[in-house]
Amino acid sequence: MTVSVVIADDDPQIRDMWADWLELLRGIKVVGRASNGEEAIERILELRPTFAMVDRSMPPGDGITAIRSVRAGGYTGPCIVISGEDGEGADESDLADVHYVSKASGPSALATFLDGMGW
Amino acid sequence: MNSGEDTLSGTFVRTEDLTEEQEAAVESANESEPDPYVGPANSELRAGDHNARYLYETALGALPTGVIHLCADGAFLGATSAMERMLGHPPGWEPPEGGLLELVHPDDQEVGITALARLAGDPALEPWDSTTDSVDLRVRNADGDYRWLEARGTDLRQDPQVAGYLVSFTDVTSRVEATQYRSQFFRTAAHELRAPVATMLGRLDILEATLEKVKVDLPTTVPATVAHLRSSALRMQRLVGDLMDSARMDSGEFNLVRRENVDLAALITKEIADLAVEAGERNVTITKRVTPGPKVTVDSVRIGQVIANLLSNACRYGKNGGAVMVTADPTRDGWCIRFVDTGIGMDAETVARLGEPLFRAERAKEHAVGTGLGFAVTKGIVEAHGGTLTVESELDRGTTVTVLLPYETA
Repeated sequence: MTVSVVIADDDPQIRDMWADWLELLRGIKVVGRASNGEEAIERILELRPTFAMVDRSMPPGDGITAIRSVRAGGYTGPCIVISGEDGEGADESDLADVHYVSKASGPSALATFLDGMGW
Repeated sequence: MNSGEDTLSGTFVRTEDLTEEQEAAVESANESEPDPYVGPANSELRAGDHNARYLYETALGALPTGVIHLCADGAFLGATSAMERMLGHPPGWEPPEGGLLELVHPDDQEVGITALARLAGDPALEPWDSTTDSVDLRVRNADGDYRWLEARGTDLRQDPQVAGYLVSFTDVTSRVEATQYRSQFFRTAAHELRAPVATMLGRLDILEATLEKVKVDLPTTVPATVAHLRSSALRMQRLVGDLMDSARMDSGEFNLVRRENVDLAALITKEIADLAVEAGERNVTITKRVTPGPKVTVDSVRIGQVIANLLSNACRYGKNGGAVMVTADPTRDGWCIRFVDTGIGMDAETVARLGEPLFRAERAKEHAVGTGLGFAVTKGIVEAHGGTLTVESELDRGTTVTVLLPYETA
């Protein structure tokens, strides 16, 4: 099974880095990219990737709201929230299968998550 | 004119012209040359005396510090003119009916109540030390704006002239705002730097993987350059982390967010590998000895930051060709991790000041670059885990930093 992802981040430098990193180092197919919360909801619900990566803050909209919307729309894949500050948003425990990766850790925290998933 | 039987409380509300008093006081002061000191040691001068009253009204009133006199049950008795000015009230001001606490910001009332209880000698609380203790509170002035006031109190219930408490207030709004501004600036700077640092590290992963794949003979400068770039990016990542944590500690918002079972030996090995280039540049050899033992439940990113900061310090303040030894041993109270270097060392005064944010010793500045944030943050992280960090050092001999980390952290 090919693992696929939609990546949403308003900073194109970091969004493209994640995309290249996932494709080149992990063989994960980047099926969609988004630069704000609204686009993220659209892409995730339309493309139904294996998992989604969303930036916490990407106006208009934010990652948490986007995850709430796609969950309401029936998307059940794991969602990774990329946060600028360590521990930001760690309280949203009502959302299932949401994982926080701090930008502070660089790609190493994402690598740990992917290793855990066997991807 | 007040009689000599007045208590101190009566003198705190300025209701009269004191010119005559002042003249009398000056005369009296001249007569009692050379030392017009007013205090418990000088029984000649009591609050009711003209000389003392002159001091309280004029001298205390002229200071930027306001004083409030509370009776033994905590009720308001009077305030100096400086206190009235500080809050923008006219002479003879009295607090609202609900008491002084009504003027304190709701978020700071608990702080004020606890401080007063300590001042009153509540046996359940730590005793108040009037020489060193103070609390910062937001207090509402006549315009309805809150000002940050630093409050210090003295229990003078046993003094018949006071029969209560004297609480002094200094307006520290500019200091508090400067600290808040610094925290906000650190936070914004750190936040903005995170994305480019993460991008560099991710791109370096890609570059290294690509170089491995091409299998052509590259000049050795290529992988060496990649390694140096990674070392610099990791150093920047540490600095950004320290900036962010320092800001969070300043504003009391520092929390540990992850709790993981961590293999310390693996973590130490990783951090040493990340520091290899920096150690190499200084020709410092890092060795480690880890006794097998249980895993610890910690925030692995933060404890990684502790190990990286202490290793980096040991390398940066090491001598060219020096050695750094890291040891980790399971003890009864937890893991004991030691960082022993043979570097420039510190004198006792420097060791005592190490936790101060932005403090850097002169010798340290001459020896290596640094921000003076890392140590305070490192100590804060260890303490947030319920651990301790101790430093022993000798000038020109080296430094040993010992971290004691409980197995199950608080």
